[in-house]
Amino acid sequence: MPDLPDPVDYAVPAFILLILIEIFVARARNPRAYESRDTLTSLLLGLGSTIAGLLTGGLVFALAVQVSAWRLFDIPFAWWAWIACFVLDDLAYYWFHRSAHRVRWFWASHVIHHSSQHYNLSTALRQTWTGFISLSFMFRLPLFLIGFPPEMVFFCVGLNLIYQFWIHTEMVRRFPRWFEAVMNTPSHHRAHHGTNPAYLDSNYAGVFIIWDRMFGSFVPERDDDPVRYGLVHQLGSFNLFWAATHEWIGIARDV
Amino acid sequence: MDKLIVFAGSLLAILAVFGLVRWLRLGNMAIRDAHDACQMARQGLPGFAPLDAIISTDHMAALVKGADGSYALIKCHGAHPAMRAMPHLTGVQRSGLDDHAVRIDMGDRAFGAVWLALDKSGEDKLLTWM
Repeated sequence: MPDLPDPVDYAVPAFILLILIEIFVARARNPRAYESRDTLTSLLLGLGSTIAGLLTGGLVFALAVQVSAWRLFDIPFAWWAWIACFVLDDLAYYWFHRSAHRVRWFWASHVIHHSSQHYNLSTALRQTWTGFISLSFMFRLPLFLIGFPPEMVFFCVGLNLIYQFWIHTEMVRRFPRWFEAVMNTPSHHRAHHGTNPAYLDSNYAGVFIIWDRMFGSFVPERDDDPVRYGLVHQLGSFNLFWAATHEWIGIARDV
Repeated sequence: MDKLIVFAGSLLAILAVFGLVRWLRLGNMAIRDAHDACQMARQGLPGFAPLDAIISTDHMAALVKGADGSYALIKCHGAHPAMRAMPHLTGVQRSGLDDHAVRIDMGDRAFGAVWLALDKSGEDKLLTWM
């Protein structure tokens, strides 16, 4: 079994470089695209998510290995298996993400990603601190039961996360129609981050927008309805801990 | 040890990016006038029908009155407006230091209290609304 690295580690320098480029493009084209406290909050939330991942990643991997013991097939590290794993992992992500918006328990850990009223590359780094608590890793367990090796699945998870970074931008309008038809793009994902009534609960895709088209959740971005980002009930706060935990606190109060 | 170095490096990089955005003075916003505030309230609070607004003289906050007698409290949050619906105008306090400023506290700790610095027309409008 190959000892695979976390691809996200190698992508971080590119993330930083792209954020710097976007900042200077924003200065020339749309100075409101970035705001210092919002950017600081996004980046610190990203750092917090990395720490949370370090604390719980080992447990999730150990669970994946345990589940793999009941696998149906022995899938090798072959090229076709990589493709199948990447596509099926993206399907699993779609159902995780759809649930993260429609089930309050999962929303409580995902809301952090939508807490900014800005939409730029730094927003992509607002990742969950409490994904382990919400048990969101459950959505990928079927992949281990099918027989995909945990190392392969987690590598594909990393690739999926890297893909989703660059679509958090207003600097790219639209790609050619064939690309927009198959792939998740900045345009599709802007609509996903919208609070406009027309865009709520749409476009849950990670990499392939085909899942939204197949399962009826696709909504195209419209030029006559500019996206307003964030939450329907805007936080109005740059407090990191409030952004990461407010929905959990809301659940606790309601229970 | 390696992880600590990565953490410290990440923190420094984050602060550097924050400093760059601040230095470039990106992300300024202001509530221009009553029309602007009404438009923000209409967009941010579905179903809210704004009638008129009081704008803070620093253009960083506004209080908007709705057709149904409710209110929208708006503050500049980064480069965007953040707002709360208020069924009634409550939590309004005069500042002890400045007669021309009021503090509106809805009791939403995360959102915080909002200060409105008022000119003469704002003062008059607020008096009639209260």
